[in-house]
Amino acid sequence: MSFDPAIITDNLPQIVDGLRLTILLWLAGTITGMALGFMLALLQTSRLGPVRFLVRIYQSIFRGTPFLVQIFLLYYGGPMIGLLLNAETAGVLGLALYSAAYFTEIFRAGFGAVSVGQAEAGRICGLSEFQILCHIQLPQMMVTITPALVGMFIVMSKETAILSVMTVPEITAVLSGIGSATFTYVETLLTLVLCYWVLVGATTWIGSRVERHMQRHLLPENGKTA
Amino acid sequence: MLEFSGALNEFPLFLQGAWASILYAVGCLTLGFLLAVMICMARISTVRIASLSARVYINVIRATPLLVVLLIVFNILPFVGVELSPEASALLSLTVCTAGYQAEILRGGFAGVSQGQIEAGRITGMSEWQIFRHIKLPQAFRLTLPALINETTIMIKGTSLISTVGILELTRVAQNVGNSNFRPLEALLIAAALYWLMTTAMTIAGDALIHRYAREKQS
Repeated sequence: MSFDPAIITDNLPQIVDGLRLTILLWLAGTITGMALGFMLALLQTSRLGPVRFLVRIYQSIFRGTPFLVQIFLLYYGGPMIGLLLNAETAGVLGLALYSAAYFTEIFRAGFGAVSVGQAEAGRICGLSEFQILCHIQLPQMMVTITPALVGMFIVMSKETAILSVMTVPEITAVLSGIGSATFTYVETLLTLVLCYWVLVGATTWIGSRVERHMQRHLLPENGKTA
Repeated sequence: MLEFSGALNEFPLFLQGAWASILYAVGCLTLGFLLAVMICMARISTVRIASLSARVYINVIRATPLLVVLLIVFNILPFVGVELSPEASALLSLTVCTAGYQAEILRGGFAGVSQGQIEAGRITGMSEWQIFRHIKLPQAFRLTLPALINETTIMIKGTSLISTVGILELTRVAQNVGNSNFRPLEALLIAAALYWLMTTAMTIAGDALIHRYAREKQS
């Protein structure tokens, strides 16, 4: 088994472009998904039964079917109902719709973790619903749900690999393309594993920093004992 | 606008595809569980090298997309002289992938079995194997059941990826039918509905099992 690093260095610009596209699609899709999930979670606190039911249906459908089938539906099925998207747009939209279903569940759990009494106290003090959300519910739920949110970002970073199937030139498509063109699968695929490993590792690291930042009020200050 | 009759004429094909998906899912989850128990034992063992290798395995697998594992198994294994059929390669990829996740899930479960029970087992003369088989494993399994069921639905959905390496399962059937009658939307919707049925049935069955265990514990 030979290992020729030249195949990686020779194609470095292409590989860097692929990695950049992966990161771009991942962040665009997942952040949009998080925003959408947050809105759906807000809808789920609604008093209207049918609204809550529709959110549940959305979650059930997008969590119960494979991501691959969802993006095939968008990309190959979409044109049949007049939805013409290029591969990148379909990819971002697919990532957003898929992750939103999971983010909804995370935010729902977050709302559940903040006691109802606090929201009621806020209401009695004359805070608006928006103020209650921003000053009472969000700051507290972020502490408990940050690990789950980071976990979802990590899951989604790996789902982006599936976009290679519909001709998006992201890192998996680029490296496996070089591999099959030059028969250097060992070099290219090991580099690919390394890329995802670094991506996941960096996300985990940033996630733990964010987590610590969110919990800073719970920790003893700068070495001083609490 | 939607015209299902063409795709529905091929419904038996879809059912065969779904059956293949189920077989791959059951196969990889069962083999993956056995592998995961071994990896987990290595991970929590006091032998440094065993625990380190298990840790590396779990971390690398959990950071690698299933699609990339498939690419590696299909392209690198033949390169180093391991010849497997496409079906076996697909099953192997799914298995090594889910084993990494299940090992990490089980680790939490084994940690939840109280030391006192293990000591009690030792005092009553049980061998280490008996303690493992009758005390540790059943409890670790029950403690981690919700996470394991979640992993089951993830893998049912994950089997759709083996369509990309030419295995005939539900997603592949939908693509073939869609390509031949030029109506991919309907074919994919039927596949999505069948996947939804499979994962939803799994979730319902899983919840029932969790409740049964919870009741047994109370009584």
